[in-house]
Amino acid sequence: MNWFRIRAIIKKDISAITARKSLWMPLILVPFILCLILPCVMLLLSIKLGGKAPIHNSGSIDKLFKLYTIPAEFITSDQKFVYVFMNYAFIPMFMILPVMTSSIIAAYSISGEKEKKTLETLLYTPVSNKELLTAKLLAAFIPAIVITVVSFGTYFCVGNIISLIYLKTMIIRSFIWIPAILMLSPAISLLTLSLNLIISLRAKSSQESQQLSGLIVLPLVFLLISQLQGLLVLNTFYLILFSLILFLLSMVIINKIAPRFDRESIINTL
Amino acid sequence: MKVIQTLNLSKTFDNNIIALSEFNLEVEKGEIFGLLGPNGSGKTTTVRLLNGTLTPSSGMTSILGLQSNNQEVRLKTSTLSESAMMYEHMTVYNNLLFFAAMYNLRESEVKPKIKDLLTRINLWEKRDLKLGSLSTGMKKRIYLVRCLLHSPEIVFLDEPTSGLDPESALQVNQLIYELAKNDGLTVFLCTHNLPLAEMICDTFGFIRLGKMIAVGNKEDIVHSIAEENKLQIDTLQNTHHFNFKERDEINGFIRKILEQGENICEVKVIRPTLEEAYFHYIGKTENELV
Repeated sequence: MNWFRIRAIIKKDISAITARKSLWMPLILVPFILCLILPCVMLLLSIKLGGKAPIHNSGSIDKLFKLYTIPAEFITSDQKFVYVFMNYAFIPMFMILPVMTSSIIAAYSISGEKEKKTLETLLYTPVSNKELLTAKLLAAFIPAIVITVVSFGTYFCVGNIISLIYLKTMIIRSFIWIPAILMLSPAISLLTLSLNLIISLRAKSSQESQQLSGLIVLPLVFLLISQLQGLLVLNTFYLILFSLILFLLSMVIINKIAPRFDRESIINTL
Repeated sequence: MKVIQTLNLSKTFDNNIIALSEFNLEVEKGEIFGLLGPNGSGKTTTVRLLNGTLTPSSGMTSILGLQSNNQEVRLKTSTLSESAMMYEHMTVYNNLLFFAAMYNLRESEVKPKIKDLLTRINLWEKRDLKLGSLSTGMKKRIYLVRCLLHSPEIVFLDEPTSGLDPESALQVNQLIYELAKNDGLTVFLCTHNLPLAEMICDTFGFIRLGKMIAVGNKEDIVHSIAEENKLQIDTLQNTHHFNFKERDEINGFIRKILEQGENICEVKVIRPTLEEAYFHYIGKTENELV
């Protein structure tokens, strides 16, 4: 594998994203709203309205609290609820980021190149099928992980600063975030990419590719709802296990698809 | 030395469309070979088989002594196709640097070459402009430069002048000729633009329905459709037409006219044109070709 070529393709693909406002805007706006504005508003509202509009200690809420380990400093139901929300319910939200980023970039970098007829030129160069596949996967994987990590870093800092000011304690502190960001998010990103690869081999335009890959978000929405309903409880063990399963699944898909990612198959769909 | 060879090359696609059938070809080093045929005749498939993008269903290809699917072939050749574009959001210079990287060439190695080639096509001043801001004619010339960055031995050009106005097409055509002759390149040119091909090609091949139906230099091809040449002698008094097979017959006709006491103004040998030969072959029915 020639890493000089791979690096050049990655650099070119990322420059294609940054050159188009319609592509990079959602990559900035969505994390900003989903992982910063939304949690901060929730945190501030719960602090400001704490006690004024108390959460009723219904049986279902109590059951939900019992499912998670909540530090002793969080006494009232509002505080407990915000703790559970900020540490557990937001995990699926953060997982939307690698899905969205990978989908947008992968759709653009493969189907988009087909659409703009630049992929054909690339196929006429000495770049090997393996190099092209690796470059296309990395060009979407790296930004997806960077965006997720940076978004989490911002969420962690801003959330805890607000919490330290008003509650005198850090609120985002569950260790579950470590495997969530460092294992689950790359695994989800890789799975999204592998599915995107299947789609992009058939899709003729980036729009078609994006529409199909948008379906990947659905399981995450299901995860979020089941968590809030107490049907599914995320813990570190299950998260690591889930990440490993997704990694394996992605690898199986990539290995299955890789032989079909050859010049002839691609050029026949142009 | 033959640098492109095919033997009974055939390609049938998954949908059972026969794109190429028993296709035989030989191209000498340094030659400009023009593959002429109407749309859908198999020209692009031929290029894609020769540059290793497609795998033949049967038969064999040899490019510089290598099988065309060998990665080495892509390092020693380059392809410019009608539909293959470059990156419009990138500058001319960065586009060329990117494609040079695909051939393992670092900026320090390729910069002088880029400067030289862009200067030759009068576009060095435009190097920092985004490719998307240039005219189609300029883009085509940049695409040609992209093909030459790694000093290939063979260049496959598939309709390089399509979509260009006559002036730009002529410029690109001239550029292909100069680059080929100055740099000793072998050019495999696919086109349906007969007059432009006639200006620069040394050898021609006519393709129809995936079959090579005539091949040779202009003289051979033209001769193949007409066994006899026509001679037209204009005198002050008359216009005379004669058919002849050998050139030495011409003197006899001239003498005969002079003996009749006529004053000759002009003597013209009328041979079929390449265009006539093209339509002679391309116009044949499928049954006649078989």
